[in-house]
Parts: sequence; structure tokens; C-alpha cells
Amino acid sequence: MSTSANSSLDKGRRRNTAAELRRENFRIMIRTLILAWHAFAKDRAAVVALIFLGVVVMISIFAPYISPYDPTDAVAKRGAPPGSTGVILGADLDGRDILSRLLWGGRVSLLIGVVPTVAGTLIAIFLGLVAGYIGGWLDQVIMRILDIFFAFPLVLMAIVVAGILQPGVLTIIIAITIGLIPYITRLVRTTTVSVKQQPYIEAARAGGAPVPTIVVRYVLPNMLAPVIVYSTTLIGLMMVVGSGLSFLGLGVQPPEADWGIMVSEGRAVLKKAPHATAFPGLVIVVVSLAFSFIGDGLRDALDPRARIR
Amino acid sequence: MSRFIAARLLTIIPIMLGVSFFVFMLAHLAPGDVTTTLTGPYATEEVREQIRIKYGLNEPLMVQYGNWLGRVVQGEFGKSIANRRLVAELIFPKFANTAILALTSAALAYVIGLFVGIFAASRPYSLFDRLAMSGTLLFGSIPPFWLGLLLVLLFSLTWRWLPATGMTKIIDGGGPGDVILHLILPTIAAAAAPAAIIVRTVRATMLEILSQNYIKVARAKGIRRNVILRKHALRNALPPIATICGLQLGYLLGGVLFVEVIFAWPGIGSQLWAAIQARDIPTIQGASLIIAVSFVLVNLVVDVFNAYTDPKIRISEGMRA
Amino acid sequence: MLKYFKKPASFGLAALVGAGLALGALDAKPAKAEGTLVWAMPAAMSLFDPLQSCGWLTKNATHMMFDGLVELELGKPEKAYATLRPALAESWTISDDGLVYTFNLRKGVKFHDGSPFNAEVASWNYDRFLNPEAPQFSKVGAAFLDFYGRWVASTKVVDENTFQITLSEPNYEWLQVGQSSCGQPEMISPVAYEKYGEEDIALNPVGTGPFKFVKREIDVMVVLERNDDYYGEAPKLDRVVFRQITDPATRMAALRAGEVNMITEPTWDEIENLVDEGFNLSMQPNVPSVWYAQFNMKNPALKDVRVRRAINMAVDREFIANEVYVGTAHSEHGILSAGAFAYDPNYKPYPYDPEGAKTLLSEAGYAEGLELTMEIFDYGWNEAWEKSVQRDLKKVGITLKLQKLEWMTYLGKWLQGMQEDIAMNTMGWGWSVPYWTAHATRCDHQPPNGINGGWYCNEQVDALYSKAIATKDKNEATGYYREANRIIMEEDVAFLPVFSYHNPILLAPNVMGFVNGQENWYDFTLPWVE
Repeated sequence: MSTSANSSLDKGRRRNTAAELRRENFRIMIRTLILAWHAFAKDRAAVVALIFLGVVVMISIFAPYISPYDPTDAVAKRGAPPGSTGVILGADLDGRDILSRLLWGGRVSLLIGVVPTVAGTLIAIFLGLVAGYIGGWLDQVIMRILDIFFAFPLVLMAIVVAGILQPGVLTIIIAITIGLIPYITRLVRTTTVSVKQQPYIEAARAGGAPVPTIVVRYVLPNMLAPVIVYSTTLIGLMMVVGSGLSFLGLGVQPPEADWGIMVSEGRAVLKKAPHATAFPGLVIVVVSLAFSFIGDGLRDALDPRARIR
Repeated sequence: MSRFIAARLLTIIPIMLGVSFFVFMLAHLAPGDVTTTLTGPYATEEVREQIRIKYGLNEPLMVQYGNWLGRVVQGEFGKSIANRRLVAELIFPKFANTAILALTSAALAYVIGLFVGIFAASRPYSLFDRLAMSGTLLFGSIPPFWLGLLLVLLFSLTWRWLPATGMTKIIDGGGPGDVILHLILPTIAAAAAPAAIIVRTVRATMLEILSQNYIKVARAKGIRRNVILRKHALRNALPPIATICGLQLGYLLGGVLFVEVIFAWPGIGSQLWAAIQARDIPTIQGASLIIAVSFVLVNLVVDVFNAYTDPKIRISEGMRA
Repeated sequence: MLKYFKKPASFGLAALVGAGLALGALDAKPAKAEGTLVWAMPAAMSLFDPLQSCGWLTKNATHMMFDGLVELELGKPEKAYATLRPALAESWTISDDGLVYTFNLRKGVKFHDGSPFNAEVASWNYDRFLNPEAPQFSKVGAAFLDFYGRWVASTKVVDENTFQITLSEPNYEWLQVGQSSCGQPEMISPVAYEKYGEEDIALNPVGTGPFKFVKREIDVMVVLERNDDYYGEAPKLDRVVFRQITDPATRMAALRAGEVNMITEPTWDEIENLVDEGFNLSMQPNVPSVWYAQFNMKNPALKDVRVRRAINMAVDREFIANEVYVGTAHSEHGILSAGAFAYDPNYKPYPYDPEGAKTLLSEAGYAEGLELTMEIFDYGWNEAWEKSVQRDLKKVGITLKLQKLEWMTYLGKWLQGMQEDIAMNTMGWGWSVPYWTAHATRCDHQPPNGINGGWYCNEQVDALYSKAIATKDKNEATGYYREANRIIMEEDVAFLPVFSYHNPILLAPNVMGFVNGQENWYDFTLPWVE
């Protein structure tokens, strides 16, 4: 993945085999992906986590069809314990079915975890690569501007954003995205700078490759490992941060459900109805873990040399 | 090196300007103003106007900002509109409280992160590795406000070992021992997530480095594992690890808000939250500024540390190798 | 490098934990100084200038530090409502025409800073909000106290210990109206005012009350201590600490851990458990406040009185009081609250009748359903009843959208009056006299002159209010108020009253003598801690 095999050593024939080159590169990419998948699949925990997450995502998408009740309807006695009639996982303090709320809430919680992290990472990779590779004044400008946003506690950002827009899921997503960008960018940049000094970069430059090519083909793949691990862990963490923001009243508004607000609402009645907090809490933890395991597997997949026995 | 530091220190000024300006504008975009609570439900618009004039809330935003900036430059943070206290008196002690919590949590996270991460990386896929990773991950995935509750349930209410709330005993409290006692549970609750991130990053980075050729060479040469880890691997792993550690400290300075609320820890996060709710602009500005300055300084320390330990970065920054 | 990390860090950590545990073992339970009551409060207090302090929470501190001419008797919880008793005035008389109040002041009363209180000082204090020419005049104070000051025509110092207030028209509730929690006509020391000035007087409260100010850490705690020179019954407690803990689960943890010995606003569902654990529950059925939703008379859908009636019939108030609030509240059906005279506990014009509601709605043309928006504010425990109302309305075909606004934003909007597209907003308040309903319903109290944000207007009702305050006879006044209530609820249907909260308080077993009186604040001179 980190070198480009030039199958034609005939410089003279380069023009005519451009198409061939492209096909060759495509084949290499496919081969690399297959290799990556094999490497990933060797990590059983990661595969299990991936399957698990896949199931969770499917369930969330189809929540409206499989959820036994409307998540905002009071359908059982308040605080009914798990196993009571009609509510397998019990009811919360408002008598709403916990299972239904978990299903519907999953959509929101997953969104809050995934969207800002993915968006933030993409933006951060772009900014970090530019800043790290090109360096100089552009680097300074980007990093100093980011420092301004960086100097914002994520929570402050969310609070003010929620004051302008109404509190809600969109607010949290925007706030978390903005808050994440400086963090990931810093990491991208530092790693880029490190990679930039590697000999094969020198070689590529000496070989006359244009800057974007160098960046995309040589630098990017080599700095991805820590970034991807970081980001996948972040997904789980952003789910948790999002739930914290809901806890402060900035996110999902009652009677809507997300896992975070379910935990938060249930805290105050831990003794009386512990299942109201325990189930959503458990779900957050498990899903977060799953993302992390996938992150591990991805790291292995992207850098096969990482596995030493 | 010193030129590097000096140059970076200079950049603090435009950053502070940027931060304070940005916060100022954002805070004013929030609807509602402080005169509502200042004058009560029966106040006429006329009275509210007079209050606004008194506090200069009617002037164009740029003018207000300029006035505030002028005073800050002289060291005057002004007075809180909501409670008449000097902003400096309000925020500095609270910031110190948050800093104590954040630094202790960061330290705990670093220690756990480095130990567990390095150890796991040196015995990858072993039982310890799996257990350690899962364990830290587990704790790191628990929302801090829930983790705090569980900790309190266990350590304060079931076994009465540690206090449940606050920074000191309410009556006859104070003193370092008292604070340390009160610090333990909030620190654990706050450090869990950053520790998880650091463990994973350390492990990932170390694994990657340990697979490099020069490590294989060193091993072939017969150098002991510990020496390899310390002299060769760790040194190269430092930049991304240090960066992550710095990032986590930065995050903690703001992110401890949830823990502050749970444990009624009198920190700047909750002060800021209250100020925003009261639309108390001077306090919002002051608190944001302090937090921002600390962030920037933390970044600077991290960058300097990285430059110091990684010659490649020194070169790229134009310093002597 | 690893070596550097290993030893100092782990040693340091171990030392830290070890030291902490050792110190913890040395004093296993937080020792309580004798006679200190620590109360965990859910929110922040406002300024400690009696003219400007606003809110039930703040009132707890200010009415302990400051006195007015009269005060509420909060030590007789068995009565249906609180009445006035002497404070700085030993006695007072009202002239026959109801206009002149003559107060005979106590002699020899001193402020906490030692300066004397007398009629001159009383007059100086009243000038703070009544006399724009006076140097100590506070515009803001006058704005807060407008609801009290607007009745006053003049004041007079008769002699050293006699102070007179003349009203512009008779209002037999006026004196007790001054016992509300947003702006109070209480006395501060002019000497202290000279020393600290208008700006800082709120930071250095000096009053004549049973407790003295010790210290305040903003958003953390307020500490008061006993005033041993108090002219009346000195408090039994040495100190009172108001400690701010915003999160309800944290409050309960603090109570269970013994770090506070009193909490309000517990989670109702935990009350049973806390009682089982040995804490004492104290409640007051006659708290003078109603939680209600006010209808916006300008909202197009609500213009039809049948819709408003239907809403009143559709809400299951008993469920809210008994299930949602697990019996720590009772249902309210009219705008008159318990805890004040004129209250009729048997007044129930709209029994729970969802079928009837549906019928009315289809008569009004909304058989297909109706969408309404209610503005609510961000305060934890309100959600419970609002969600319940939302569910009840859904059952009869009304989709109620709850628009939550953060408190400051909400307050601003509430005071401006509802926009047309908003159907209702909510509030919970009341006074220990029924005249507060006038502030929410009089034609001339529509914003910006008052808080009648639903734009309700019925001159008949206004006339009834005017008659009610002009008569000395409580029974006659009760008649007027109940008639006004009937018109408001049955003819005009301007409100959806829901419930009144019993202010459940949980006390540690060593707190004795605490009285949960007929108000939203408490008399701390009564309890003591063993």
C-alpha cells in the first residue's frame, strides 16, 4: 500500500500504457483491500464487534418496524421491573417501555456518535495534511486559527450553540463536530510532520512526484493508523459526551429518547428502578466497546507489520 | 529552541484576541439578556433600558468589546452583572479548583495509560493485553456522570470511606488532606475516558513502532526487551503519545464539567454554565479567557516537548538538530 | 525514559492514595459543629439586597437576615394559611378609611453592625424604593417593588418610634402582599449603605434579622450565623449553611452520606427509600402556589372556548398529583391557591372526562385532531407534569408540542406575553394572599404592565378584584374572589390549573423542630440539630 509498483520500466512506453497503469493500480488496490480484510478478520474480537455493530445499526434503521411500542407512550406501570407484562426490559419512571426507547434511542445515539466524528475526522485529515506537509506560514495560520476553537471547551461550544439554535440533536452534532476538529487535526499534523521526514518521502519527492500525489499516496496511508484508532474510539466517546450534553439539558428533549438521556433520567431513581439506568448504560458501554474493538482491528488491517508474534 | 518558544508565546496574543472576540459575539447571539432578572417582572422597558445604558449593554458590540479589551489589558476583568462580585474574584479560585481536578485526572490518566499501554504492547494479544484493553475500555466507555454515581454508591454510601460531594468538608473543612480525600472519586470518574484513549493510542503507536525494522535489528542484536522499549521504541513513540496526552489535558480542563456537576465540585465549568444561563457577559468572557489561555499554554508545552524529543520535528521547525 | 516514569509516578500515586485514606481513617465521619443545619439547594440565590432579591430560594436567606415592619408567621403549620405577625413593628393600626397604616416600632433594635433602627431609618429604607429624590433611591429596587409601592401615596415619620404609611386607595391585602419573594420592603442599615454604597451593599448584607451574614461563595454556598442580639426569639441553630447542589441525585447522595442534613426537591420516587433509611419527610399541604398553564387568548385555535374547556376536561390531575408526584402534591382546579384565604378545596368544575373532551373538540370542529404549542422552561422536575399533560391531551386528539426554553430566555418571553402561535405557557407561583391572581388576570396587567401574558381581559373580574381588596371583611372578599375564580375558570376558561406541590423536605434524623410552613420558604429560627 505504501509503494507504487510500476510495472513498466520502459520510460519510453509510459504514455501508451497509462490505461494499463491505471488498471494495474486498481488491481493493486483491490488486492490490498483483500489483504486488509484478511488481516482484520484475524482479529476475532474485531469481527465479532463488527457483526454486532452491524446488527445494532440494522436494528436502529428498522426500529420503527420492530419496536413493540411508541417510545413516548406510557404503556406500563411506572418503574415496572423487567419481565412484567408487555415490557421485557421493564418500564421507566414514566411507564414507557425501555426496550422501545432503547431501539428508537439507538438511532439518535449512534448518530451523535458517528456523524460528528466522521465529519470531524475528514475535515481534520484535510487540514492536518495541509498544515503538516506544506508547513510554513500556512501551517501556522491553520494551527493558530484552530487554537482559537481548540481553546473552547467542547461544552461551552455546545452551550452557546444551544442558546442560539434550540437545544436538540442537531445542536449537539454541530457543536461536537466543531469541537473535535482541532483535536484530530493536531494529531494528523503531528503524525504528518513525523512521516514527512521519512526517507521514502524524500525518495518520492526526488522522483518528481507532484505534491498532492505524495500526500495522498505516501503520507496519508502512513499516518492513518493512529488517526483511525483515535477516531473509532472517539465515536464511542462522543456518544458519551452527547449523553452528557443531554444530561445538561442541551440535547435530546423529553419525551424523545436517546441512550444518554435514559441514563440521565434514570440516575435519580437508581434504588427504586435500577433497570431504567442499567440497561441504557450497558448498551452505551457495549456499543462503545464495539467501536473500539473495530478500531483495533482496523489498525491491524491497515498496518500488517503491527502484528508481532 | 528558545526562539521557537518565544515565537509561539507571541502567538498567544492573537489567539486570545480571537477567542475573546469569538466568545463575545457568540454570547451576544444568545437570546434574552441579563436585565430581565436584574429588574424583576414588574420593571418597565424604560427601567430595563436604563440598566442597559448603565452597563453599556446598548452600545454597538464592537465598542463594548473594545471597552472590555481595554480594561482586561490593564488587568481589570470587571464586575459580574448578575452578582456584583469582581469577575477576577469569581473565576480565579474556581479555575484553580478545576485545574486541580483536571491535572490530577490527567496525571492519573497518563500513568494508567502509559503503563497499561506499554505493557500491553510488549505482550500483544496475550491475556493481559486483552484484559487490560477491555478493562480500560470498559471504564472509559461509561458516561462520567454514571461512573461518578456508581463510585459514590460504592465508596461513599455503602462503604463509608470517601466523601460524596464537594471539595472540602462544609463544616470545619479545608486543608490539603481534606481536599485530597474529596479529590479521589471525581478524579477517577474524570480520568476514565482519557485513560482509555491514552492506553489505546500508546498501544497502537508502540505496536507500530515495535514492528519497524530497526527494532528487529535491535532484537537480533540481543538487546534486552526493556532497553528496546525504553531507548528505541518509546522515544519514537513520544510525539503522538505526547500529543494525545496534551489533548486529553486540554479536553479535561473543559470536560470535567460533568464531573463537577455530579460531585458539586466548585469549578470554573459550572461557573461558566451558570454565567451563560444568566447571560452574565463579563463572567462569561473572563472564564472563557482563562480557560483559553490555559489551553494554549498546554499546547505550547506539548509542542515544546515534542520538539525537544523528536529531532525530526526540530528540523522541520527549522531548529538545530 | 521508562525508568523515570515507573518509580516516581507509581510511588507518588500510592502515596497520594495512602495519605488520603489515612487521613480519612483519622476522622471517619465529617464532624458536625453543634447546631449547624446544612441545606442542599437546587439552584443559585440572587442578590442579598432585600429590594432586589428575587426567588423562593433566596428568600430563605434574606428573610433570616432582614426584617420588615411585619412578617409571616411560619411556625403554625396546622392552619390553612399563614398570617402576619409583628416584626420591627410591635403593633400597627389601620385607619377606618383603610388608608393610613400607623406602625409602632420596637425600641432598642440594632442592626448587625450595631447601628440603631428607628422610624427615621424605616423611612430612609422606604425611600429607597419610593422616593426618586432621595440619594439612596434605587431605580431597580423601585421596579422590583412596584407591585407593593404602587399603592403607597406617602410615608411619614411621626416620632422616633412611630412610622406611618398612607395608601392611595384602600387595599386590605397590601400589607401581606409585601411578604412575597421578589422584592421585599425590608430594612438595611443606612450606616452600612454609606460605607459600601449602592454597588456593594448587596455583597455586605446588614439587617436586623435573627441570622447574620458570614460568607458567600457564589454558586457554592451561603453561610449565616445566629444573631445573639436579636430582639425576638433567638434561633436555636448556631449556623445555617445553604449549599448549592444542582443535581438531584447528588443532593440525595450528599444527604445519605451525611454531608447535608436537609434537602428539598428530592426525586419523588426515592422518597419512600429515603424514609425507609431513616430520614424524616416533612410536607405542607397548604403551600400558596399553583402550577398552571395559561391559555393564550390570542391564539387562533384557542379562541373557541370549547377547546379550552376540553383541555381542562382532558387532563387527569389526580394522576399527576398521586402517581407522577406520588402524593407529594394535590390537584388544583381553579386559579385560587391553597395557603391563602378564599381557597375552596372542594371547587372542581372539570372532573376528568376525556370522552366529554373529545365530544367538545369535535363540536368545535377538531375531530381530526389539533396541534398546539406550549412554551415551557428548563427546570428538571416540571417535565413530569408537562409530559403527563401531553399524554392526556394526545388521548383526546390534541398533539401538544412542548417547546422548552432555557430559563432566562423563557422568562423574557413570559414577561413579554405570548405570541399568537403559542397556545400556552406555564408558571407556578402564588402569594399568601389571593390578590396575586389579579396580577395574572387583570386587563391592565397585560404586558408590559404586568404578567398577564395570556392577554386575558374581563372587566367584571377586574371589578371583583377591586371590591375584594377594598373590604376589611375576609368573608366578603372571599365571596368576590370565588366569583372571579368561577368566571375565569367556567365562563372564560383562561387557565389550566394543574396541581399544587407540598414541598416535600427530607431531614436527617438529628434535625429537630423543623416546621414546613405555609410558604415556599422556611423559618430557620425554629429547628435545631442534635
